[in-house]
Amino acid sequence: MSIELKFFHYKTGFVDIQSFCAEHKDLDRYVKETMSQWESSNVTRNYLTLDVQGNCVGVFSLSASTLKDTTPEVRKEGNFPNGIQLPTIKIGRFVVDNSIRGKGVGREMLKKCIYLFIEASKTIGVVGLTVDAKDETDSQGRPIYGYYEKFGFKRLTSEPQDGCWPMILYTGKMKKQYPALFEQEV
Amino acid sequence: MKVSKQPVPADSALAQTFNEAKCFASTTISPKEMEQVLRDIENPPESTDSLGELLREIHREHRT
Repeated sequence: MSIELKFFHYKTGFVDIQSFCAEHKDLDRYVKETMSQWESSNVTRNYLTLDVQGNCVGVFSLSASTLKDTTPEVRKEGNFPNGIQLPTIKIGRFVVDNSIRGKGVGREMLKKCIYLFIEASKTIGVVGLTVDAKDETDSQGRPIYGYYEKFGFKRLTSEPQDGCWPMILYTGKMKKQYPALFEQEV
Repeated sequence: MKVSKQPVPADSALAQTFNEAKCFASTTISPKEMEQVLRDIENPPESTDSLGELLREIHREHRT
């Protein structure tokens, strides 16, 4: 790890987030305006990434979610009259401060996301960790979804939806690769 | 127990919060794409080296 970071569950007033800048209108608005509302309404759990000076350099959020299909006509009388719905956990927001990009902060944040996901999956059944990767490119012209693919996420659709690529990292894939992480006495 | 029949006003701050956040509540894909998901759940696709490395680090950092 090239940079020392600490992660904290978001609390209002815990750290100054007004200086945070991702240079992305929607994501900056989320961090500065929406995050506290959604946290207090229990819609998202938000995690701050702080550098050694205590500056907020990244934010991500996690929510319970569902992966479902649009119900086809043929299924209306079949085994799945309401379509298939699978439980998941969703990375709702994942954003790194513009001043610190390219230094491995995103990788450490994703590692923390996956750790929190694994811990939750020991007590609540979930088939995977999902994310809606923006259909945009990074500063080097690489698609954002490629970043997640590198870490085992798979695109769920052949075309982006509403400007995003829905993606999933399967619980089974992680469990198969590293079963020791999923062992738990209850 | 009495159940209030008073609906939460659609323009309330709370209703607006949940409405804005509804994209988090679900991901919708086509039935054909769902079939692929079910196949993947049954036989998880091969992992990547980068994921393996992350999982190893998680195990090392959180081992008690």
